[in-house]
Amino acid sequence: MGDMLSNGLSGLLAFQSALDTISNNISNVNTPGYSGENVNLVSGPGQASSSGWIGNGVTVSSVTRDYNDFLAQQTNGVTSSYNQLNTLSTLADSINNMLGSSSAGLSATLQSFSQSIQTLAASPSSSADRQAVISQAQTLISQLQGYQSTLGQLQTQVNTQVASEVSTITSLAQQIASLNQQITTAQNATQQPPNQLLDERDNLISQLSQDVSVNTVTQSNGAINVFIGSGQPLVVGDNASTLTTQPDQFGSGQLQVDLSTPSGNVNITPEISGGTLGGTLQFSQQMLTPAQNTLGQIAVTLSSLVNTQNQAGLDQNGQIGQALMTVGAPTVLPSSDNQGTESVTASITNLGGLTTSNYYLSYNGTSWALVDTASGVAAPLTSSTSGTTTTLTGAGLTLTVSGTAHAGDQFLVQPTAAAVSGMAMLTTDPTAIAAAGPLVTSAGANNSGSGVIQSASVPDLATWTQDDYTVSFTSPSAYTVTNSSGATVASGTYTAGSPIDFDGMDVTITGAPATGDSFAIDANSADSGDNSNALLLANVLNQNVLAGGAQSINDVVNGLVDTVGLQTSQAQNGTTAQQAALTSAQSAQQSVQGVNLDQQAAEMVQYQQAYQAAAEVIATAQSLFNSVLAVFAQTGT
Amino acid sequence: MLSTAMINELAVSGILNDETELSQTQNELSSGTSINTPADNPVGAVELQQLNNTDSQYQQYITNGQTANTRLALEQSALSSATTTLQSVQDLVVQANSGSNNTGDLKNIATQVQSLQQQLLGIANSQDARGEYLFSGYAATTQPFVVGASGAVSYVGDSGERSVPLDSSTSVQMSDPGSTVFMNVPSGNGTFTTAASSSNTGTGVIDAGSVTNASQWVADQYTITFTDASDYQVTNSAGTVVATGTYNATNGGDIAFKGIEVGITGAPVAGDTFTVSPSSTQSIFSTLNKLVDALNGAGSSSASMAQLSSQLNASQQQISQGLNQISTVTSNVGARIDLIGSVNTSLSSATTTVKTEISNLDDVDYAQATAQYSQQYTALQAAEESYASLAQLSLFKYLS
Repeated sequence: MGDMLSNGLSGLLAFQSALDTISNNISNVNTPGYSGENVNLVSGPGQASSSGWIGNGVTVSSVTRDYNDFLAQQTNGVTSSYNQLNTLSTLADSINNMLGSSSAGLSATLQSFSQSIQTLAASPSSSADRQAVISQAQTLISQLQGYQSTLGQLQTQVNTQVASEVSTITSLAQQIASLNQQITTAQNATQQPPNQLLDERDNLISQLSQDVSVNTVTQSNGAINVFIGSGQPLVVGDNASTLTTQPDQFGSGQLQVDLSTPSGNVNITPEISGGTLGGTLQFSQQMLTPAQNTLGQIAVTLSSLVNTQNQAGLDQNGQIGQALMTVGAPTVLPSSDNQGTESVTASITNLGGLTTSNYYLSYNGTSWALVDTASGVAAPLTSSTSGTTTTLTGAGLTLTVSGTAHAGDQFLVQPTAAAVSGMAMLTTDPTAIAAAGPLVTSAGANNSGSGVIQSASVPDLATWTQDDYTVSFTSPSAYTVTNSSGATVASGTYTAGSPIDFDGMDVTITGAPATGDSFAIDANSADSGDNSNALLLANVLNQNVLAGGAQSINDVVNGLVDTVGLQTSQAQNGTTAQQAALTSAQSAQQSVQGVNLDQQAAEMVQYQQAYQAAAEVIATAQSLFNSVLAVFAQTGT
Repeated sequence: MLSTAMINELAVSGILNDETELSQTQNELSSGTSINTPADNPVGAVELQQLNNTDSQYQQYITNGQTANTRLALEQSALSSATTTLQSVQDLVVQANSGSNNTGDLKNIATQVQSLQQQLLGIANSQDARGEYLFSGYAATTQPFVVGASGAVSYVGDSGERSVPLDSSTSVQMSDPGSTVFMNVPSGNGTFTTAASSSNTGTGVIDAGSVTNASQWVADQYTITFTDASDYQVTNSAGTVVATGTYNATNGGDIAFKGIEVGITGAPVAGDTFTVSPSSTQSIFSTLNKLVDALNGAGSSSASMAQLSSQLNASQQQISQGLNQISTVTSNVGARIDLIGSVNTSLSSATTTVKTEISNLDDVDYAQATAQYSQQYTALQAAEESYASLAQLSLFKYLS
């Protein structure tokens, strides 16, 4: 009977615990990160008696949670990948939308600019058409600067996001470390798993996975160590490291992520991957910086080609053309760790070698090296020194180093990053457009031979005399060249197709001139209707000068659209795929850890009945005891 | 087992995905284009960009063609007026050469010729709608033909010929310099000119002559001297006699030497000379000036009349040359206008092709999109309805 009572009581207590646990499960059905809890019932040790071993009821040995470490780690891994791609996709979409549809995009504006020059070529004296060219150029500059401004805002957004992520990660790390301590203490004290604390810690690690990829290792004392990047420790036992951001060593406006270690702060930016932080950094490096540099490359090339061509002709005032536009110069930023006293300037001298990369320029004590910041590949660099000045040539740039360099000194070279923000028209005077070529040629009216002028040019306009010349043939094989004052400036033997050079000019005559034939090579006058230079100016978009002479400005613009489109759609597709994978991983995890209300309802009914039965047992034990007491009451005196 | 939270989440995310897709299809239907950003179709976006640029470029070429066409049409009209003017002068020359005019009549004719010359000068200095001169070469804002103090007309433009591109491989010249049209006209018959000496006292008249055998011609100044009324000799510039012969007026009076033939009519006397000089160039204005001078300076003697006749023959020849020159330029201009027309036609069809390609690439296929929309709408509706009924199921409902 005593056994019956204690057995019944044990059942009552056990089933009460079970119902408590079930009620806890039901209450937490929608709590994120909650693992369903189960009571583990163990039957009491039997008691020996002459009639056999009699059981001793039931006890609750422990309350454990439904948890699968493998599924949890799998879900965390997929969460990091998903968040990385999702972040990349959202940020990439900003650039994608900026480029927009082709009818209003950069390519259309460039085309309009070229066409305004073609319209001018049909009537070079029209001031309305000249003004239109200036206006189109200004529209083009506006659009480029609008894009640059959008990208600049994205850079600010990236920096803000990185700082915010880093601060979140640091805070989560500290909470995890604190929970590690609480869990080890609780576990030592009770020898039972502290389920609620464990759930909380797992939840924090899961949140951390959204921000960055992490690896976890469980210690024997119950603590979990967390590592980020390529194995850098974030949480070890009770101790959490701190992640901070600071401006990079070059003051370029980008942030670097530092990890605190016993020996000081370490820059771990290149090691970070996964999660929102990894996605943001990836966007900055692989999409944002290349896009900014590509726009800069387009600006530099356009300005250079337009200026060069304009300076090869005559403007409406009959003067040699000047440069029409300017762009921002390459920037060279010294590292804050530099110990030398040198200063470095850079200029773009070879369009064929100009890329969309930024470079690290570093000195190892004897020589300089130029390395691509994204790929780490060294660019070929030639060097020549005279006195304290060293001239370096590479990647389309000429770098001038003056002063004394110290081994280990480093600079960040950005060839085209500042080009667009510094882009402007040098003049808005419509007469400044050099539509005319420098020369106009004609054959003498009375020429009887078959000679024709094939070409006449002024290779170096800076030395041009702007005089009028006549080439006269004293015999079919001898010529003299006289200027407008009648002075002979050259003479020689005529060979068809061979250049005749005089006073910085170059003339080629072919065919068979007769004695007495002459050819006039005159300077074009002001307000000339000659459109030969304008026709060349209109064609700069198709001139293959970039990538060693293989690409034109149009090719680069097409490439930009293609690259942005591909990267964005790849990120979008990746996000969709990862989302499916995440859903699948979460389902698998939830099937083990989750709470199903129907299941809990059924168990509740089960334990409710059992509790009622156990209560019946106690009631029965009580009535049996009452029967025994009634016997004693009857016989007593 | 699916946890209760997971059941709800799966259903809701399914509904949200369906909504997103439906919204995207709706966006396509309302915008009409399928490529709104590069990511919608990266390769297609680049292609679309290039097609749009090509389309724009074609429009530019067509505009160039129209600009050139306008200019060339103006030029054609000017050349036609010039031809009519010169033909009127020719008629006057015939009238003057009829032999029934006195000096007063001739002076009248001279005045008419002068007025036609003014007309021609005006045509040569015509301008287009922008005020640019048609015949001044590159010097578009400079009047090409100016009259000097002595009445001589000189050309102050240049020989530039402006061209514009009609398509990627064809250009068309949209102007001809005045030097080509009016100035550099070959003199005489193209090989030589003839003249009668003003001191002749006979009534011999020399015509323009012709080349019978070009390979025998040696360009030099030749003098035909009549030793008497029926005998002549031909000497070159060095004085060497290159031919002699008998003059017979009745059979055309042909004098042949060095591969050429000139005809003399009338009655030359001993001592009369005629010259044959190599051709050079002479401007039309110069020809007309000489004509006016000849008409004004004619005397009434028979020798003067003969002299005038020779001069009128030369003028007539020269004006023919001028008309030939203008005719050559006119047919060039006509050919260029035809070229513009044919390039324009092929550009129009090329433009249609490009626009079709753009449409194929970018336009939304409404039939397909509407069907897709309808499908997605049904799917969303089904998802929402099924979730609504699923959410009702719970064991707790059945436990009292």
